[in-house]
Amino acid sequence: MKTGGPEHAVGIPKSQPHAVIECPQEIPCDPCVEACPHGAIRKEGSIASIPVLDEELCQGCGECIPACPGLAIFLVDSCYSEDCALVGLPHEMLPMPVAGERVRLLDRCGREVGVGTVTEVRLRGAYDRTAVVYVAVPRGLEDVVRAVAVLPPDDHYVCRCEEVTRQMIERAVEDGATTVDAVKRLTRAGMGLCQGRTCRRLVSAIIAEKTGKPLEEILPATTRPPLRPLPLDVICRGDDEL
Amino acid sequence: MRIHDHPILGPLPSVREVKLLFNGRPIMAREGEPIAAALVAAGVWESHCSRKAGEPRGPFCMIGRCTDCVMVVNGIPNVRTCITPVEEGMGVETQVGRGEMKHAEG
Repeated sequence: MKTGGPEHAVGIPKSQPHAVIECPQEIPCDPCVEACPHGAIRKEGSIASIPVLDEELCQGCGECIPACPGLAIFLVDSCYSEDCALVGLPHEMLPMPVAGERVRLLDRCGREVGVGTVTEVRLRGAYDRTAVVYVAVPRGLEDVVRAVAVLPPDDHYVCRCEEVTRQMIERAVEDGATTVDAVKRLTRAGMGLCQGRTCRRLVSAIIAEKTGKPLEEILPATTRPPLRPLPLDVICRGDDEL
Repeated sequence: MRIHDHPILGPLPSVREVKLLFNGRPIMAREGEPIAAALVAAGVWESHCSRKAGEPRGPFCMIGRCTDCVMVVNGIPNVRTCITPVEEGMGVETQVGRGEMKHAEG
């Protein structure tokens, strides 16, 4: 079967791991042909023709993935596990994901389509710094996922004023602070200049996420006047206007 | 960075220019625009240095909520520059940590 663009990838037998070539360009380029140790990739006629995969010969080793300068070859295993398929894809971005890491799954247009787990990152000398990331994706997405993006690290600031990170808040929740007030007392999140305007909803969401409680059940922190920042001398003078 | 022609708001109306002093350096601004807008237009993105980590911070929410844009304005620290209009001759300084009151007002 001729495997050209994405439209040709559909319909490939899904029984075993195999390469998926999504090369649409008729250009003189053949590292994929050279990279395949099993002779499964051929160029028929001219070197400028679109490469063709012989599925009988393809062993699903993935050696062709880092060889393609256009990052147009992938590995798909539709039967990786009960509910997951496996996609192997070339990755030339930093930070490099690591095995076990949860990553965002992106389609051919870079749109996020879900979350997957990296099973392996292969980076050999012969790969010339192009890593091959293997990621377990929900079944049905193996023909959709063509890139991954590393999830934001846990040390993002949640409370910007008091410089409290997501990780610090998660640790506080693990230590038993399951209300916004308790997290505030342990971490100072929400006690800075802006008085929680930026972080309070985020803190509630993190508590809900960590405790498994519905968000509506996470009560907001105690609110006291003044409700917006004002210079102290306004209170002293008793001005009505601000 | 300044938007001179906006698809919804239209072209930028012409207003009087005023001068503010950023860390002693004169910067031209449009009268009445927020201090933060004038500084961003002049290429200044750093408003203060954070209190704990000592990291540079700049305007974030631009609506007076997050306080990341606070600077020392006319000697008064913690002024939210994104909602404070520029005035002729105003002194604006990069704040360090909580900032220090240079002189009492009034």
